[in-house]
Amino acid sequence: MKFALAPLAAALLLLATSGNPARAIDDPGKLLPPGPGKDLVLEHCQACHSVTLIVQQHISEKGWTGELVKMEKWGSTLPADDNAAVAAYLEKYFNPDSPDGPPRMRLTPKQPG
Amino acid sequence: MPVPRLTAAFSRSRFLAGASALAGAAVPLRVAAAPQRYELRELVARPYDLETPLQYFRSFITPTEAFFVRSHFGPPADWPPAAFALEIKGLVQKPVSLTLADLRALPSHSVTCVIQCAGNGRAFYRPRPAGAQWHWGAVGNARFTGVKLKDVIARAGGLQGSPAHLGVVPADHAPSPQTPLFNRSIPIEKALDEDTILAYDMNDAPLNVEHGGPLRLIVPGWAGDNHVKWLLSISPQTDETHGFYMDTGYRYPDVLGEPGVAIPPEKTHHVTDMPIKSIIANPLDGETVSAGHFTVQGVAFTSRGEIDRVEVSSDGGASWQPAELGPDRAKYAWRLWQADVQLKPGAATLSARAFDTAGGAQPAAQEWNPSGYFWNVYHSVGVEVRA
Repeated sequence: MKFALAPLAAALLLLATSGNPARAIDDPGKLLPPGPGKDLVLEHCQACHSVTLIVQQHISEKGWTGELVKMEKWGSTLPADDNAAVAAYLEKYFNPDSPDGPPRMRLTPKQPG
Repeated sequence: MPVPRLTAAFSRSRFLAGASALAGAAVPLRVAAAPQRYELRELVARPYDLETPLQYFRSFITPTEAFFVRSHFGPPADWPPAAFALEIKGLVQKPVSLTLADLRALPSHSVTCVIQCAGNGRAFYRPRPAGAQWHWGAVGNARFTGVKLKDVIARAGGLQGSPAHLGVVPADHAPSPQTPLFNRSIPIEKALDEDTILAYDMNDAPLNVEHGGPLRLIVPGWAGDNHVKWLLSISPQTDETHGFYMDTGYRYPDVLGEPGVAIPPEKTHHVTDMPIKSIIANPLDGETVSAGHFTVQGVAFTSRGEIDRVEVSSDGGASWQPAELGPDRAKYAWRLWQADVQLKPGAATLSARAFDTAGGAQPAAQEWNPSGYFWNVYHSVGVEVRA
């Protein structure tokens, strides 16, 4: 989606979530498409970061495998035996040719003081 | 909407601010109150990576609430501790811990500077490097106030021996102890520069936690990774700090290569000074505008020399006209610019390219680098012009 649609998307999100945009935006189950590997991603990746980091990527299966190996060294709880399945799942939806998802806009509160 | 001349706009707003304060006069419509809430593009919800939409680049100072946010691991829970103190240790004569009150008692120094994430524009490289997919908005220009690092070192009795680096340790860390820390170092010459500060204020208010409060290192002219947030300690030291974020991350190839060809770390260098870049803040990509006269607005910055000129094209880069540069207000700040163009009905592409006095010029295409750093292809926006 073009960046220019951001205001519209944000307005729709606000309407849809009636004053609590964070909850709907961050619903990780809705950000990830169904498929083998989705549950593993939800279970193991969110200890350190939200899935929003994942769904914006456009990388190859080799690239995803590299990321999973790096995260394994960094303490990920994903069993190494599952790396191949998760890399295949992620590559299917978040590959070099996959479309960008809609922008997620966040209202920042006024800084205190 | 007509845009006043740059220089006139600056002096007029200063005059009006002063006049209103003195006389309590009604504020004219043109000087509308700043919006209370800002929408940022959320790249990562936890830890926060937030990108500034380009309409907020029409002012010299980027409001704190609109300023992009980059977090490696984010501040710890319940940060900052009530008894916060910065530790100054390592190769100093008298290691010391300084509270915020201690630091505020030292002479203050303000620097208005651009901070830009090295990965700003990563999303435009092909193939796309992994990482936060920033477009144009991982940058901002703000006024930081704090204490010169050299004064803090002096407060610890000065250097001991001849350390070549200053180690910097922040409070953020991942849940797993196996994840590398964002421990960094900068060369001691840059640390002792007159404009390198430990900032406790941003845009004249206490530095908030999103932006690294209570204390953030400000290294004017250098890429965002050097401006370490949530400081715990600093330590003059003999060697560089080592670890993922020094030896692997935030490095740029000495010689660029084809995608997929590995470049060994010893053939890379730290990202420091930033190449020339300009960004169009008005109009926005995809907007519909009226035919006739239109004032294109934007910002330009470089770490290499000064901004020499900005040129604008309204025909997709076939012809270029000079933009009017706003005043050069601070050494490390950006320059506002604007250019009047005539638009005919139909689709139009507006482009802007900047040049610096060090010979830097924004290219029409850019060679790839593995981490997607320092994108500076000249910016183009597409608009629909209605009669």
